[in-house]
Amino acid sequence: MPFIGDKFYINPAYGRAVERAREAESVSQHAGSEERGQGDHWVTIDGNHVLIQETQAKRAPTPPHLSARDKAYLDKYYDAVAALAKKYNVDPAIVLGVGIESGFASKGTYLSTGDAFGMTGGSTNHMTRAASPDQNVQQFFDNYGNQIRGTGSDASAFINALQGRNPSGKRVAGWKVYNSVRPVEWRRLINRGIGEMRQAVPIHLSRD
Amino acid sequence: MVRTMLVAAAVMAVASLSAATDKPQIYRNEEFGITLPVPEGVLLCPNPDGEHDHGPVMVLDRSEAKGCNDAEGGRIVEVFASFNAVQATKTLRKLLQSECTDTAKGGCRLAPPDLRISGMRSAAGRVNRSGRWIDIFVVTQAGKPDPAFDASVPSVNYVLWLHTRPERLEEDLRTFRAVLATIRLSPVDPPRR
Repeated sequence: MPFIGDKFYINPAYGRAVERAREAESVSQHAGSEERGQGDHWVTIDGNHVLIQETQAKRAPTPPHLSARDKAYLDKYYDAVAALAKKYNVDPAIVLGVGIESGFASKGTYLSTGDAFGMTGGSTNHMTRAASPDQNVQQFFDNYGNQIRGTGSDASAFINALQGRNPSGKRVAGWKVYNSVRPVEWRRLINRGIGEMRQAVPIHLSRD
Repeated sequence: MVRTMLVAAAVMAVASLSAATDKPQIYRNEEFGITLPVPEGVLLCPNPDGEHDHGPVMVLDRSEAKGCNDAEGGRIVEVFASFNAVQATKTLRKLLQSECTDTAKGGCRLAPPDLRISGMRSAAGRVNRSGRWIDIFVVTQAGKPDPAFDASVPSVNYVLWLHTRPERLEEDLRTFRAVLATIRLSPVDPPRR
């Protein structure tokens, strides 16, 4: 029987390659193997170990859920953001996504400054301090409102605007840049925050 | 006697000066709990005062200072810290997968051996990108979990990233390993207002 390890493979050579790759992976993914999806596996293709993921389609969909953290954040920030977002013609969920900078008003310098949007600099000389969520939201729009105006639900145009660029990505003279040193990672971070808020905001609104 | 004392004093002065100049530059980030002695021969990019500091960016070729403003245009090692705040990146596996697909636009391949951070759970992957670039990621997590989000995962995600050329891989891996060996990650929330 073509069992390799404790698994059955129709093609023994393939099976050996998969098991070798699994073994090799444990070197790379130290102590993290229990987090791998059940259907995920490494295979060797042309001498390269490649992670194949087969997880999402097989899992039951997770029902919509609002974490206690997101609930607290939206309870504090949604109304203030929605009011100014309407004025500037931008989707409030996109603006709220920038709150990932502070773990959605739960972590880091937010706890001492009240700035949920990461406008606080790396130096204590450039701390943005807010006495309330309303003031913090006002600070955000005072700084970037004119740049994000009219970006609507276009997350790419919104992030471009925060980075001092027009919707096609061209630098606009005189515009502020949110994160000049880490543009790639920062864009990805904000995109994740927007994704989180695009799921959370409808749930928040449905509770009202 | 006097001459001997003068020579001794001169030697001590030189030794003291040498010790001062040999002292490594230390990057510190209180918010994300990062302490890193900057490896010799690299350029630590300054973080603009008005911008949120997510961790150190180091250009591997000191003559390419412009690399500080063009992260993917030169050989770099960087550490990017952010709060573990969304489902898509809340575990090591998801975080690594996200780096490979979103940043490097490729599937994770097996990383070089023994890329790890001492005493921490970590995962590593490699992407061979177009344009003859290689990206190597080591991801780890630390910090007290937030039960209001997920009590089973640490509160801060760290991505340690080497971006290099095939012909410089071995050389740059030595710097990357030095970073992995010496970095300290211990985030502590500041007191609430």
